[in-house]
Amino acid sequence: MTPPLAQALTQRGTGRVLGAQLTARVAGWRGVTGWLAYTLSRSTRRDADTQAERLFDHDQTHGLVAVAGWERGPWTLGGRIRVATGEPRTEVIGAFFDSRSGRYQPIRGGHNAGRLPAFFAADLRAERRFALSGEVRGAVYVEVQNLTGRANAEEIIYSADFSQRGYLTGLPLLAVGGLRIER
Amino acid sequence: MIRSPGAALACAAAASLCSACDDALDQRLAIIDQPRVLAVIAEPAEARPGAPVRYSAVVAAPDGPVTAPPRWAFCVAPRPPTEDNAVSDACLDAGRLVALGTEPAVTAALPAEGCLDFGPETPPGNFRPRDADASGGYYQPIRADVADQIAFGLSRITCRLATAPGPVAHDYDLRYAANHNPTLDPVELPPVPPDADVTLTASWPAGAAESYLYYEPLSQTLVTRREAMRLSWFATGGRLAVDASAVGETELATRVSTTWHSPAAGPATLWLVLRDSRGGIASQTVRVDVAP
Repeated sequence: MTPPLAQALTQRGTGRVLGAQLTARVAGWRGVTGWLAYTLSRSTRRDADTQAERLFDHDQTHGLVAVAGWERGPWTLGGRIRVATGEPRTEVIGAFFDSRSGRYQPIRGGHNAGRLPAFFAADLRAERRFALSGEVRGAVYVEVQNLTGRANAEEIIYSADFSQRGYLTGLPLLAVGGLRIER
Repeated sequence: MIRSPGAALACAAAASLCSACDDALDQRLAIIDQPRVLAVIAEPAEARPGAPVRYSAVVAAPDGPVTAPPRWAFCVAPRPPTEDNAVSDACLDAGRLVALGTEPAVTAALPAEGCLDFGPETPPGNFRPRDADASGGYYQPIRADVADQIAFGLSRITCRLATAPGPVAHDYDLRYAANHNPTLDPVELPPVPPDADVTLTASWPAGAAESYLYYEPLSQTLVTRREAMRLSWFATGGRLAVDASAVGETELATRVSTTWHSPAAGPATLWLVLRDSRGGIASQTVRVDVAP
């Protein structure tokens, strides 16, 4: 159990990544441009020869991104949809009390045996350009991120005794308006 | 080119901060809303391998102290460097436990291999010694199962300095004084009104925070340090302003206070658990009448 001197940290781990991506593009069809990409991948690690293979911390089995834009006269409209498998996480399956510190400590399940919930976000953007004077032009725009207001989980959080769990979530629906002036 | 997205950035930052606060879970343990182990106490607080030590547990429940006897066991599994909990994951398996019985308190001799399994001694060969804690100590885990809870106490074991130069290690052996559990001055509370703020004060004798010899690895010398103290407050009801109060090792204070907002009328119980930085523990149970 005690490692030999200077061998507490060694580089004996191995990793493997397999994946494929399918992409379709639309360019200039009635003012519409866009692309659709689907990725299927699996990324694993083996920390030492004696240990089992596990999922990599950022493994995402499925990833789908669709982006589209439409431009007509001074108007530009755009949208994006992202869907992805949640990242692997090592879940806490229990806890014990550590009397030395007075705090609870987690009993963990299998390394990266669980996953965060799937990620989904839809974003929209609209822009209206206009001429000001001479070479000066302007544009007003509105962006709406996470249009559905989905509470995407970014991390698992626990109560002090690990009896309750929840998720740290990302941005809620966020609308941003702006004015751009350029010369 | 001139751009003006400052307001947009401010909105995004504010929304991000608020979002991060939304899902906070209860991070406090001061109010006893279910049976819970508050401390596992070893007496003496520090001993050499083979010496007898008496172990007891402080267990609280919403209706007062729990008297059910814990099931005791030594864990003999050292913690590998790849784990970051206080004890090895193997201590959760019955196969690495040495049963000591089911008693309110149990007396057992510390395993003779303690300094090898949990301390700085290494088996023959060029092995890496285990790391001491911040106070230079090594600990034998003792498990107490009670009220559907698993608790581990860490019983400090006196080991030789394995990595120090010979004269320093010899000096340490001669001068190091084993830790003693601190003591708490008695706390008595008169009946308190319901829904009122009550100041709680805990104090301990000046000698409870002991001075001790510490081997400073960088300078390879012995220095004298003083124990830091940390007092945890618990109550069966109401609200406590803080979960714990601390006195650092450079501070000389021997008392700490907090505010307890009393619950509705009826009997209540408070627990005070005092820990020193070498693993010593003292506890006190205070029964309080909350009456108009």
